[in-house]
Amino acid sequence: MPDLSIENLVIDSASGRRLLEVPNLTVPSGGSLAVRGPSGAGKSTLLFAIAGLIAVTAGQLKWGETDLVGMADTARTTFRGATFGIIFQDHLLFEELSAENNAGLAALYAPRQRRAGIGQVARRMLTDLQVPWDDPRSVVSFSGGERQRIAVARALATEPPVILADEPTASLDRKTADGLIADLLGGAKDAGRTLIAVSHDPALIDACDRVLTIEDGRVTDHV
Amino acid sequence: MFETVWYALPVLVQDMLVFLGLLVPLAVTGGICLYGYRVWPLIRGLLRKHTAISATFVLLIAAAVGISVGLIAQERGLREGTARAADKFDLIIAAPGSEITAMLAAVYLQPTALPLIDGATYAKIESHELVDLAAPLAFGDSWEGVPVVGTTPPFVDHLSEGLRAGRVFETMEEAVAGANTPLQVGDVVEPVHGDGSDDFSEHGHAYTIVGKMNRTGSPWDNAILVAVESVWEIHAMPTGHGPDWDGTLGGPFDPSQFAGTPAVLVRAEELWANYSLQSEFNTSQTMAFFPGNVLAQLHALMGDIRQVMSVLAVATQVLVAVAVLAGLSMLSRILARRMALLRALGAPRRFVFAVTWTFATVLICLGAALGIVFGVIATAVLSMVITALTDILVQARLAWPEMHLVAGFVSAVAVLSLYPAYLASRRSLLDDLRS
Repeated sequence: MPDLSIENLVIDSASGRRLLEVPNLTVPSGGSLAVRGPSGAGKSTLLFAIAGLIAVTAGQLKWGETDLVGMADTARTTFRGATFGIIFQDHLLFEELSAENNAGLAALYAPRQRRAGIGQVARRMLTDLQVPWDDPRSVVSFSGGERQRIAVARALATEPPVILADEPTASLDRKTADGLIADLLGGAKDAGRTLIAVSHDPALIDACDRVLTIEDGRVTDHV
Repeated sequence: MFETVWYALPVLVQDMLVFLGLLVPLAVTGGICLYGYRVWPLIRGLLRKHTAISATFVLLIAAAVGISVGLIAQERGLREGTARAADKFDLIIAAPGSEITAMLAAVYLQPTALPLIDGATYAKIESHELVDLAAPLAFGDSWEGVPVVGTTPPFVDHLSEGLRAGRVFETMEEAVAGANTPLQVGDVVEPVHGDGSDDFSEHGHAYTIVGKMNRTGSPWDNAILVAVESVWEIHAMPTGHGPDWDGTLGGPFDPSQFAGTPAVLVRAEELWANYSLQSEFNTSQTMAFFPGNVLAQLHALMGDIRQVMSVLAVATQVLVAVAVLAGLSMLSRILARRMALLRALGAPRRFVFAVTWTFATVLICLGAALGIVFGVIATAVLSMVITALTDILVQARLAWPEMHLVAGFVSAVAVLSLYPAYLASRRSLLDDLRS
């Protein structure tokens, strides 16, 4: 399980506008970090940078000994697939596919020898998250809570060492959100996974080991 | 070595191998693109999600393929139909002039003004030792738009190979109806002069239908056949027989009483004899020709047209393919967020490439398959229309050349689809993910 270490990270937009500055940040393997701040502060930009989805202007961003900043696109994609399970704010499911096919999406492009394993884990995760994996309906007919849990199952299906979540509870009611927080953090602790979550949800923020506050592209608090 | 083996193969096997060979680019491209990936669950999902757009693409491709293969099959069907219509006309002897005009008049019953062969010349033809059948023709009358053609009973037998109903005419008041005429045995018709369209006048001569011919696939199916003697007589010309004629229809005719004929249909049992007769009667007085040869010349001209049609058909398909690719490029924008999601989750670019290419190729293959169905329907409808318009039985069928055209089209467009797939795989991940 790699640690995350960030030093003097700078991200500018294509037009040159500064989006984010992070002087120093470390997340140890197996830890949990909540990133909070007002809308448009740069939280999702940080999460995307940590996932290797956005170009870094300057600084260093390492997962263990792997420096994502200097990595070629193909290698970064491979690293991302092997290291991260990503949960997006608005689920981003393939609406026409079933819950099982969404959760096991990675099996479509994974090496042949890993496909069966991904499928098994996807079904187990759906069961643990109380989503019927054998329901043949497309996920478009599922509730918001179920869809988010399917997105979580998809993130966990490859058994990644790191979970990156962008507002995972934003579209959920309180009860469902609390259940999801318990699943995410409980599962991460049990499996020794690192969890980094962008959130406005106090319940999720309070449950994490550490909290990073970002305002207007700058880190203003780190506890 | 290769040619020896190739030409030793049955034609069907050759056609199948060419068909499969034309699909090789599709198979190779697909094999390379899809190696190591499972794209079908996503493709099925995308087809369900974008049913209307997918159906539009499929129908567009199907229409292009259907029109192309339908036209080419139709052209071949028309050639075969015209050749079949001339099948019973081994040799035609007419007064010197245009062979095509004489053929159009004699075989396809097109109204034309032809110079006449006189009695002495006809007698020379009729009495020639190699001639097994000689039949003069007489045109000029019609009944409700149906041409009335004067000829001899043996020619009716030869043309129809036996009758569907009744018997051949035996008197000047009897007639045999073509297979497509609305007439039945026992009906009575009273022809008018000309084609009946204008300035017609009745002759006051009625015919009773005593027989109906089998279908010949020629315009003769839409004609009424009567004794040539009766046509001459009602036009106030000699009947072809002297005063001591016993009323038996057909030859031999008395040269001094012969009214003249625009064309004589001649048949010899042996092939060589036909060639001998053609050579012998190609003189300053007559021209002799094989309708098949004249048709071959026309078909050679049509062959050039066919090539133009083939080019047009391919051009149509290429234009549609380009339109489809442009559409697919736009579709790739619709799919962009999903493809970006796949890449964000760790899917390689090649997987996104494979999904987009496969989606495009599935639409193309479905369109081509449906296009073949459209082609079959279009061919059948066009055949009926052309048969109705020309009286020539056209039975066009899709055959291997059309299958080869479709296979080549599918392969070509599948290869061209690599480009939109490439574009889809090179899009900005972050922009698409946040769109």
